[in-house]
Amino acid sequence: MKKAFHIAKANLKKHKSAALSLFLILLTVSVLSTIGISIVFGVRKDYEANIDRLNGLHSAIIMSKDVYLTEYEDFIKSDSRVIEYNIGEVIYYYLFPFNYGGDVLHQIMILDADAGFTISAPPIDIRDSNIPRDRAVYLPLYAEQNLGFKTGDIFTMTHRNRPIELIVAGFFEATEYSAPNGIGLKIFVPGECFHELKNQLGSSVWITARFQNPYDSTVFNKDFRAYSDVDLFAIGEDSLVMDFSGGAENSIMPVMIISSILLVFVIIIILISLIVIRFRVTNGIDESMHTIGVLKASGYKSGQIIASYLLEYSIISLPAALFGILLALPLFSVIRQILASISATTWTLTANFPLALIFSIFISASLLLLVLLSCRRIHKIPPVEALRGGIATNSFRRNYFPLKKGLGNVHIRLGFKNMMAYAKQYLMIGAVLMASTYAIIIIAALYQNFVINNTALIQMTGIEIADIDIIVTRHTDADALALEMEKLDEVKKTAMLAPVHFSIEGTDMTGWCSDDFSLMETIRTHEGRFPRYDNEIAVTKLFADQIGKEIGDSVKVKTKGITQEYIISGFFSAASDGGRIGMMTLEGYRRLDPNYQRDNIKIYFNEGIRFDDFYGFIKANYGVVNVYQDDGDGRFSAAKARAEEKISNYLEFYGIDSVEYAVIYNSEIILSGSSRTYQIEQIVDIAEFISTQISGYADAVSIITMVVSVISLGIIALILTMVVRQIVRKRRYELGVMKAGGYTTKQLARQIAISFMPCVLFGITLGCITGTYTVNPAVTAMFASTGTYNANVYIYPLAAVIIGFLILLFTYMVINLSAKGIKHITVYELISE
Amino acid sequence: MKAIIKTEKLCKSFSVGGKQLHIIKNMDLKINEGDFTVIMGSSGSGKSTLLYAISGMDRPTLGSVWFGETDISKLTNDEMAVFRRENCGFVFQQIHLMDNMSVMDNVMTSGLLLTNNKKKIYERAIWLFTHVKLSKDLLDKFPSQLSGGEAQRVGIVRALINNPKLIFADEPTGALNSASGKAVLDVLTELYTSGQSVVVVTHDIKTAARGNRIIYLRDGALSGELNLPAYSDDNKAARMEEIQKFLERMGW
Repeated sequence: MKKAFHIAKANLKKHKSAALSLFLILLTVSVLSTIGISIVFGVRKDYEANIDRLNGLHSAIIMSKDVYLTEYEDFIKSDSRVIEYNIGEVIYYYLFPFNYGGDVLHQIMILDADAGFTISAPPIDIRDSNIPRDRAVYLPLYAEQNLGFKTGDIFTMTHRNRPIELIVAGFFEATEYSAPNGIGLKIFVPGECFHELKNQLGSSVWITARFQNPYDSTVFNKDFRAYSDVDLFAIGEDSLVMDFSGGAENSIMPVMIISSILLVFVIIIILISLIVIRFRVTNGIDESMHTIGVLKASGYKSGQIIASYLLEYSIISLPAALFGILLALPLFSVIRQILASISATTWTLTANFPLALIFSIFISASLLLLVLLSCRRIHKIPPVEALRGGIATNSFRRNYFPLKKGLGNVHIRLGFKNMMAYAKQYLMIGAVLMASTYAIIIIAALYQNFVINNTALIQMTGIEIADIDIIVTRHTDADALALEMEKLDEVKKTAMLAPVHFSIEGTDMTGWCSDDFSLMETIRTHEGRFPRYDNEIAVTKLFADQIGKEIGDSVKVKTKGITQEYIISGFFSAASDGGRIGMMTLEGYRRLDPNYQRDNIKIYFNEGIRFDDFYGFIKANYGVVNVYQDDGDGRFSAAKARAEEKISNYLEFYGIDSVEYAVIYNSEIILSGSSRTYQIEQIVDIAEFISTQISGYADAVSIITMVVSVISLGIIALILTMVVRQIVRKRRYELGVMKAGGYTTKQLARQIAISFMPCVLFGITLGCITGTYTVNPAVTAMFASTGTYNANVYIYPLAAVIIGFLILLFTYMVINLSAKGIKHITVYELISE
Repeated sequence: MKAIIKTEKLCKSFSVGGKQLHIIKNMDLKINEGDFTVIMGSSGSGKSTLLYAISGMDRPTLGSVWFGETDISKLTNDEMAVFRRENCGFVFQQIHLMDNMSVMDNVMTSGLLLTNNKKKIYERAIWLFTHVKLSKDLLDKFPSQLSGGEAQRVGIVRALINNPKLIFADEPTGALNSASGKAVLDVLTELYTSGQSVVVVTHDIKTAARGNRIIYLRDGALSGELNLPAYSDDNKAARMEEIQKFLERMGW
């Protein structure tokens, strides 16, 4: 072993830079795999630990006060799985826009800080007790740390277009509903403020529970719904039901996506490393053939020589693996910050040493096995053959690219000649570039489809995105208004796709119904078709798999106590709500709810029409309930706002179709009319709404795009430098002769760059083509667990060409720079050898 | 005689293990146009170092090397490369043909540095191959398939392909058997006879006998010089004797 160690040491000393390059690649693999593995296996644990530390909720149910019965508490109390529960009030709104650190959120839960909740009610750090308690608000700590909210800042929410302004008075730590890219926000206000808001906005029942085993919350929720027989929806306008898994999913899904992509990328780098090691060992044996001959002649056994190779690569790979894990350690503080920025939980995640070590040992063992396999031929080489330099690796049977004829100048032809002479190395480079380009193209496609133009991501959510959604007032005929609006110059088309709620085979679903699915632009089936008849339903493949159904199978659909059978007509992609989404025709839904009247119109604008302009037009011509505006007469604006708010409350809470009203202020009628003039209840910028919902994914992809691109280019640079140096070293003699003959360093470097170009070009082209054509299945596979079965992700061919061209330029630059080492080859050195 | 190369206070030192070794010391030397100059000396006397310093292969530590009106010691590395390709041809002891190229491509690689006219270079290569008595059958072979003498004659063709003003040869017969060595020397002699300037470094008296001017180096300085008439088979014996005496005088 000592002898093998000496040989290994000598080899390492001789090929320092190549060893360093390989060390850096393996170090990168180790760092990334440590991060990826630690996140994949630690993120859920970390989330659970956070929930425990803050006594967070395992199950949350929001329901209207009018359907809540006191016996429900007995049911909860009697459930042996429940270890703690709270029942209280919450102000809950589903479409309630407010600005939260630049993003507009639409779902809010306002809780009374003085209500004495014990679950998910962490201590509040009140920073300024002078702020009036009827206007104070306490925000998640995340808002202070990441969004720049300070004590004294105004926090504005908009209720039916009327601003509600509260003053930030303190902060609290939260595990859920605190990130700007989540589905909503949970805030606390002092009791005085809560009562003030409740008077304006109304309140719902807030039930939270903790369990011995948090995952029991799923079954508990199901049991509770069965017991209560109230239509409770996962995320609805009047209700919310969330279990532990759902909460975790909402909080950590973007993180899981990052780590999954990271691990896929690690696998690509491992493959690249294997190719490079195979190349290095084979080449190393060729280069050291004479030494092998001398060693064998001196009595060394083949096994000892092979052991020296194993030792050489162990000396590179094992420290790389260990240092990688150690290097990943300090990175976790940055990773925790990144994770916190996309998923607002406080993270304590650290490196998972045992798993990272096992993975690194596995990778190192695989590499060493490859070295062993590549070294096998040493057994077969007799000493005398090795002393003669071994079997010539270059085939001289053909003189490729002869200089006496053919196209191209001498540099191009010499470059091509060398390419043929060192074909193996160049093929390896081609393979490495193909893999790296492929990774970059995939990640660029994700960036293009998730960040620049998020249509594909929107399609993946399974939500139809028009330019605006209009919710009509109770007395308005939605179909007639849709037809009227369709005639407007600004409007390209309208469609009716109304949100409904039902359960399929006992699983709560978000549903949509329409009488013409062909009008939809962002939702697509990937198998079968959307429903055409009233006994059909379309679901996600993910959900169908969960309940073991196929297209053509029947499912039981239930809402409001009525159950009907439907046939699955098709599958569509939906990465939202865990894939628990169903679609049926309007008539189909009316089999469950015969009196159902749809109130939702989707409006698609013509080119160049902006939301704000159209909003103003609609407001002026159709009447929008509770439009808060200053009519120029500042004296009465507050009174008008108050009056319109009252009208809104009447309409909403008491089921009143219309109100005739007059507001008298100081004996003067300042506002009068009929609420029938209001045809529109609410206008929702649905694109903006969805954009906020998916911004977590976009943020995750932005981060991973940067990481993957930088590392891919770094690996290309490392491997190219390694190979160019090796080729220069191998051709040192030849390059010296050419220098003696009058070739300049620049010309020789250019020849080397040219010699790489065909393989580089081939690798990049292949990477671009395979990337472009397989991006959709690749991304679909990556996101399959979210309910995506056809991601519809693509990359513009021009973008792929530009990326390929940039990689080519980068490669050419790196090769040229690496080949500059030729200047150190002196003619004198060649002769004095 | 017109000097084609002139050195002024030429010094060349090397640093070995932190110690400065002065190989060439303040040397003033002229190489005349049309001469067959032979540089001799014992091992370590600085023969090859001098050859490479005056041929633009290496840079002097101090002093100047004038090639006509150009001080090549002041040229950049790339300018030096251009100087070599335009003015010099090199023949090495180890021949240094490029293994992965055919015989013809080894020659064309140098030839195409000065022109893109492939046909012209190819025809000149064919003429030179014929001139050095190499069979056309060898042109598409690879260096490993040639004998030492054949390979060195290919080396000479390569050196001549750009019609250089000077041929530098470092022990051109050092790695060859006597028959091959003689064939190579005949080629060099013929070149000299036709007016080509040749500078050869050698240990070998038979090689030295081909020159018309022999310079002897000792410890990095010029120690002596012998001028001879042009070589012919008739005066061979007398020349050998005269050279032998000169070398004895020099302490050979």
